[in-house]
Amino acid sequence: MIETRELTHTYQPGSPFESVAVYNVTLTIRDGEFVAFVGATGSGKTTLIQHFNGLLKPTSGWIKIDGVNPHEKDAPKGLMRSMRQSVGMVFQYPEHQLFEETVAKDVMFGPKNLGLSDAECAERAREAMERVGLPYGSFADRSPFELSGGQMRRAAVAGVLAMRPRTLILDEPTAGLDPAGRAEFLSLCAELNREGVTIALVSHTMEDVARLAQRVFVMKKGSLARTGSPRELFADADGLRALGLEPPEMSRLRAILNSRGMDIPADTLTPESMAAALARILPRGSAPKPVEEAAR
Amino acid sequence: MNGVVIGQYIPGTTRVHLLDPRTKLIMTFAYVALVFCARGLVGLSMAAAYIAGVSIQARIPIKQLLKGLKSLTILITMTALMNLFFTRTGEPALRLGSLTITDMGIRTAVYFAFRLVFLVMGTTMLTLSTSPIALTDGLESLMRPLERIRFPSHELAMMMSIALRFIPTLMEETDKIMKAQASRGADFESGTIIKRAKSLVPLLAPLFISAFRRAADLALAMESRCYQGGAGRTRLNELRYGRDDALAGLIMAVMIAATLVERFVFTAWTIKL
Repeated sequence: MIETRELTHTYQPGSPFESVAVYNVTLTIRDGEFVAFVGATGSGKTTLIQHFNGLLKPTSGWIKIDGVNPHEKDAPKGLMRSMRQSVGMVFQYPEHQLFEETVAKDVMFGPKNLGLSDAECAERAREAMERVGLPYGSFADRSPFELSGGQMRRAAVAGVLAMRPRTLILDEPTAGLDPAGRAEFLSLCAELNREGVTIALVSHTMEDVARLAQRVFVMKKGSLARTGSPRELFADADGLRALGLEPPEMSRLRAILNSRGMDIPADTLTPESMAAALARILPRGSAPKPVEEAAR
Repeated sequence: MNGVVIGQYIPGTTRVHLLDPRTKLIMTFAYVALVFCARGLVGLSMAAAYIAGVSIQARIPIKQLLKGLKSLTILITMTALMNLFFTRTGEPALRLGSLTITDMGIRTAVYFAFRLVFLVMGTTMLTLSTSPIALTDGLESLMRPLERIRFPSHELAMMMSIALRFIPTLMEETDKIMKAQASRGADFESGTIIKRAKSLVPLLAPLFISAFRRAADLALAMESRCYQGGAGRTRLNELRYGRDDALAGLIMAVMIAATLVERFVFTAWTIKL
C-alpha cells in the first residue's frame, strides 16, 4: 500500500529557479489495485510517482510505503533497498538504462544487487525474460544493443520484473511502441495485476486507462485535480477537457449516440463494450443509422 | 538535479543584461587589467564603484556575487596572511614573538585581499548577467579577426554552444539513469573506492551510448538543414553596438584613466610593490 499525505515537492527550493512540481497530494493506492495517473505534460505525474519508491523525498508532507516512511530519521539500514525491491519502477524509455554485454546479465543486475545467488539470479532472469516475450534460449546471450527498439524495451522491463516487485510503477511504458507491442505490453500489465501485483500506470492514452484502470488520478499543475473510476471520470467530457485531457473515443461516441436518443450505459468505454451495447440495443438484422458524419 | 542551469546566469532584461556580449567581455577584460594595475585607493574605489554600479543596474544583489567567493575563501585568506607576515618594508607596527608586522605589510595584505575579491566579483558579474550562448556569440565575434590566420573561430564557437546546450540534457539523462538503476537496487554511495568505481559502469555505459546517439542525431539534423560550417554563414541576430555600449565604454575609459593617473602620476599615494 502506498499512502501520501499533503505531499509537496519543490525543485531547487530557495534558488531563483525554484519550482513546485507537486503540491499537497493526498492519496492511497491499495494492495492489488490497478490505478492510472493522467494529466497534461508538466502536471507533475512523473515527479509524484518517483516518490513511490523513495527516489525523491517530499519537501513537505509524507509518504508511507507499506506503512513505513522511507525518509524517517531512524529508518533502519537496508530499508531503501527492500523498498526498491518491493516497488519496481519502469521509467519512460526504460531501454536507455540497458548497459550490460548480454541481455541476461542486464536482467540479472537487479537480483544481483539484492544479494541473491547466481543460480537464483539466472532463474529469475529466465522467468522475467520469458514473461516479456524474449525466449531465454535465443536472447540470453545477445547484446541488448543489437535488439530492436521494442525488444530493448522488453529487456529493460524484464530487468525490473526480475526483482519480483509487489507494486509496479510504469511511467508511460508504451510511448513509442507499435500498436502490437502496445497491446502486448498492456496485456502483460493486466496479467500481472491479476496475479496480485499492484500497478500504477502513467499514461496519455485514455483508451488504455479506460480499459485497464480501476481508479484514475487526474493531475493538474502539480495538484490532484480529481480521483475516480474511469466511468465517473470520462462521463464528464467537458470537465475532462478543462483539465487538458481528451476523453477516450468510445465515450465521445457514446455522447453523440446518446444525444441522438440512444441509451448507451456510462461504463461503455472500450470498442468491445460499445459493440456489445449496440448489439443489445439495435434489433437483429437492422442496419444502424450512419453515425460517421456525426462522429466527425 | 532537475532544472539545473549551467553557469550561474540569472535571466533578466536590465540594461546590463541587454548590453552587447562583446562589450561585456571587453569591459570585464579591462576591469581585470584595472584591478591588477590598481595600487591605491583611487584604483580600488574604481573597482568598488564598478561592482556597485553594475550590481544596481543589473539588479543582481552583492550577496549573489559573494557566493562565487565561497570556494576561494582559503586562497584569499592565505594570500593576505602571507603578505601580512612576510612584508619586510615599512615601519614595524606590531611584534608577535619573532614575527614583525610592518605597516606596509598590513596595507599590502588588505589591498591584495580586496584585489582578489574584486577580481572574482567582476568576472562573476559577467557570467551572472550574460547567458552562455550570448557569451559564445560574443567570443566568436571577437575572435573573428583571427580567421585570417586560419583560426576556426566559428567552429570553436559552435562547439562551445553545442556543449553548453547539451550539458543540461546530459545532466537530466544522468539523473534519470541514476534513478532507474537505483530502482534496481544499485548503490552509488557506499562501499570501497573500487566498488564505487565499478558501480559507475551501469551509469556511464548508458550515458555514453545516449551521448553518441544524440551526437549522431544532431549531426544529421544539422546537415539536413544544410549546415556546412562557418564559411558564408550569416546570422539571424547580428550583434550590434548600441548607445549603452558606448556609455559603458566611456565609463570604463574614465576608470582606467583614473587608475593609470594614480599609478604613474600621483605615485606618492600608492604603495610600493
